[in-house]
Amino acid sequence: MVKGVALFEYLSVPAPDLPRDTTRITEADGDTYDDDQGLGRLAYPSRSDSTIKTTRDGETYDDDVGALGLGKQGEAFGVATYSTRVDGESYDEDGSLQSLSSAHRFHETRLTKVDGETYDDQGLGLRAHPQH
Amino acid sequence: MRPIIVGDPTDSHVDHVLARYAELGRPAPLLVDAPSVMHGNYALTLDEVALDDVRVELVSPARGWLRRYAPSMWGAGLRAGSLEAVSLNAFLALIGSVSRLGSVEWLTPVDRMLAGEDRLYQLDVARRLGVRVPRTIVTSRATAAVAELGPTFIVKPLAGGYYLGDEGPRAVFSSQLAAQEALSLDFSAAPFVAQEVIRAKTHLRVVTVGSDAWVASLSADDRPLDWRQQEEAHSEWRPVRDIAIAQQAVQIAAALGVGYSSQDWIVDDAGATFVDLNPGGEPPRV
Repeated sequence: MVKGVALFEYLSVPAPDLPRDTTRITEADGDTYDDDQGLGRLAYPSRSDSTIKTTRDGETYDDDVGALGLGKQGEAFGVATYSTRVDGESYDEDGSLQSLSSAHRFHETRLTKVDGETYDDQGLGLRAHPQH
Repeated sequence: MRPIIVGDPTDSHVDHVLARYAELGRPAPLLVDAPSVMHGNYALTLDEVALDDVRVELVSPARGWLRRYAPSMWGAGLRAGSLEAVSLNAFLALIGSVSRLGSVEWLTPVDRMLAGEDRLYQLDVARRLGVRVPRTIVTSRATAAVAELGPTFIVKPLAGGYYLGDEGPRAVFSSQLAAQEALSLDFSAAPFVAQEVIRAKTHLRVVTVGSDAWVASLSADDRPLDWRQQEEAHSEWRPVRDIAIAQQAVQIAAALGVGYSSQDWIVDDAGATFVDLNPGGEPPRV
């Protein structure tokens, strides 16, 4: 017997008012993004196949948002550079960041700790949730 | 003595309470939740809790309000059993201990709160008090829901309605299903509450604090089935005087042992029906 679509999938809609704590909106490349205030990481890309750049706090972040998510992030905090590969579970970092304490795969989801803050990245690796 | 609030400073409900304390010139409560201990300096003994050098003895007459252990979706997306998940669970357990130790007078004790969040238990308690509740079934088979509730019925998650999808956070609201539609869906993937359709004329939200209750109403005209989906509905509540509903709401809260509750009721041609209760929910904006 073939089962139908699960109720959660069938009934769900994009969450309109999920608590995002310190979340703000930015626009990049004509699209709207929700951006947390912790790392300048872009969140909730409105399209998944674009490459975007955003400047905040005087720093420039280049996010490659190819199909596998966050390709690289450069010049973070001006003093440290690190790159990430969501698909390959590989995280390289400059020691001047406290850092990426851990990373794991789960539906392209990972948890990172940078500068003592914890962030939840999911989807294409561009969504961040400051935890306080 | 400084009270304890288990909650998040960015939560508007908590913020209102903190503002009220400031207005009254009373000592600011110790605000603690899982993220705050995760990022702060804390110490918990069997006698006191301290966070970032603010200390509260866990003895009466210290009072506490348990809003929530962590913001919604905190830790969502973590792999079950991973180091990160285990670590976050430890912080949640720590807050659980804060909520249980000593003789703090909690508005709603933690174990009462957990039991009070059980949708089916709420309905059972209300029904035993003689309050009208919707016919309800939780089943793995759509056919059973149709047999119990008829050709159309309401479904809503048994527990949390938010989750992380591939494209971002998703929400599931109360929805109406027709039998044919329901029979094409998989009811066995996760437990949902299925209930009879009640054609609402008015929605009621009743807030109880101890033996006091406040009732607010919202016309059901031009609203979606779940009014929460309509932004303007959140600000169109009006206070009403309904002693009967207030009394029943207080009775339900007392039977559940919750010192605070935010309850949803529906009024149709047959009268008022208790729908559900949130022991940590926000009051309506009136």
